Amino acid sequence: MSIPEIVDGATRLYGIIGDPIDQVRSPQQITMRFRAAGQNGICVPIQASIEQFDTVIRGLKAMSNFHGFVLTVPHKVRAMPYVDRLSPGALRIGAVNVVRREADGAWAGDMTDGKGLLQAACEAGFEPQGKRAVVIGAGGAGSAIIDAFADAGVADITIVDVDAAKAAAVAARLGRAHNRCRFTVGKADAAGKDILVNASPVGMYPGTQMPAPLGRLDPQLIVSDVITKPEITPLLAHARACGCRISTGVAMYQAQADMLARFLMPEIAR
Amino acid sequence: MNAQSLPAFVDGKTRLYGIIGDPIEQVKSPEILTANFRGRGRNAIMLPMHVLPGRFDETLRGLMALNNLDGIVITVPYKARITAFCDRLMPAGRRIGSINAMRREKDGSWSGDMFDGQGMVLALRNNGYDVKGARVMMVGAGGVGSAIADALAACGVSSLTVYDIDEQRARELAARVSEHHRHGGVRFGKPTQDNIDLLVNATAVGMNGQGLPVDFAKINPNVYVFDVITHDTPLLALARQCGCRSLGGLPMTKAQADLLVSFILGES
Repeated sequence: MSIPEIVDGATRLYGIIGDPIDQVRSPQQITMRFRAAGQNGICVPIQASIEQFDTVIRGLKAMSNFHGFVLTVPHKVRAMPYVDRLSPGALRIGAVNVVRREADGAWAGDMTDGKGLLQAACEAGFEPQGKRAVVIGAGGAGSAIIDAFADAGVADITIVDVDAAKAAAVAARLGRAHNRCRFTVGKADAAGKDILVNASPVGMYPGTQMPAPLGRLDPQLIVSDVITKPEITPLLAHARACGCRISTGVAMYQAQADMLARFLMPEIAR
Repeated sequence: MNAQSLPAFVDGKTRLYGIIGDPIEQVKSPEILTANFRGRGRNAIMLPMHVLPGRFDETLRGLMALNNLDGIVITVPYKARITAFCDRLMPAGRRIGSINAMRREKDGSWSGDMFDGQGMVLALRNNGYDVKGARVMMVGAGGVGSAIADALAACGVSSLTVYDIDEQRARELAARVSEHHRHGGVRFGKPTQDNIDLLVNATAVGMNGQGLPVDFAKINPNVYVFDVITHDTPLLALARQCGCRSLGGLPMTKAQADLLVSFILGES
């Protein structure tokens, strides 16, 4: 297949839907991956407000050469009814971040938010089977990460949130789905844990700080952060100073971009 | 923004435009108009959008609801149907009753206009042929035919004979053009090459590589032949074989790129 300089009449369309949209990186990251695989596809930014979301989704799905979309804030939960086939992870979490048109015309959706961080952590040396984790932040990203950890065999997860009721709700919901993992609502204490994850916005510019006063960390601990700006958050800098292995939000997004591109266009060989 | 700061392909800030049609794979506007945007230093892209007739309204409502899509180019078979989505038509679009471009205005309303006819006249001019004073035979009175007839009349052809297998449609077009341009020389008539300087195909005949829109065995070498189809056709092949000067539809698309882009960017 020949690939146009940017786009031509035969280009397959994909989009990332969110509001705001200026800041998203998927258009470059996913389009580059399509092109590197020799595919004539493009992922474009699609700005849809909450009020217009239904109209936009129906319009996009009605286009014959529109083959899939990534969802970002604030549409990940809202998109659920537009997906015919939800992956087990998307069903457990109650949100979807990537949807594609299948050969039979049905729409299939998955949730990769947690799997991206898991993969980045594994690249830093994490082996999930039987391990103990503490996850700070029980919002959308946090629940996806907790689900991915439990799905990969993590044995014990402590969930930390300033809103303890929110942490308890996530523990209860995911506890029903994963009966081989123990979920606890607790404090940000890494003692005796194998991995610590920050899935809260604390640490982001401006006014970056630690998500919790953690003190000295055991060098055996792996520390992951979802924040991309700055890439090395105060938490990661502290972890590194303690001799811990770290995985960054940037690494998580890179891993996730691969997953998204492959989900959207399954013919891309790994 | 200068060209150096444009993304390689697309980024989160790219403004979207789309060309809607059925089929869509053959259209050249995505390359031509994306290059035109970028040549102006705009981080913008023209996307191909394939829409089946049964899904047209739904798609249009969705596209018009996007906050980062500012304009739509329209091709076969939707140039007349799209006018229902415009809040206002510019004069040419109103005269012709079909459009090939619409844009979002600052107040959120949508305006439509038609550039096919101007594009055709410009393409001929760029190739050294001035339509002023020409005697024209045109076959095809649909959307693109209507646009071409309007532009030819506006540019002062001395006569224009219009034919369509739907004779009623051709008669109506001739009457409409005569009325708007107070032009005495526009009429319905069967395809002929007697007293003709310019022969125009504005039908889809030949798009699949087969068939002639007129049953001419030969074409008089003094006749200039224009075909709206953007690739080579049996009519263009016959014209070359007979020693006629000829032009296909791709130069028409290219010639109107500046007009279309200036319009959808709100610069004209």
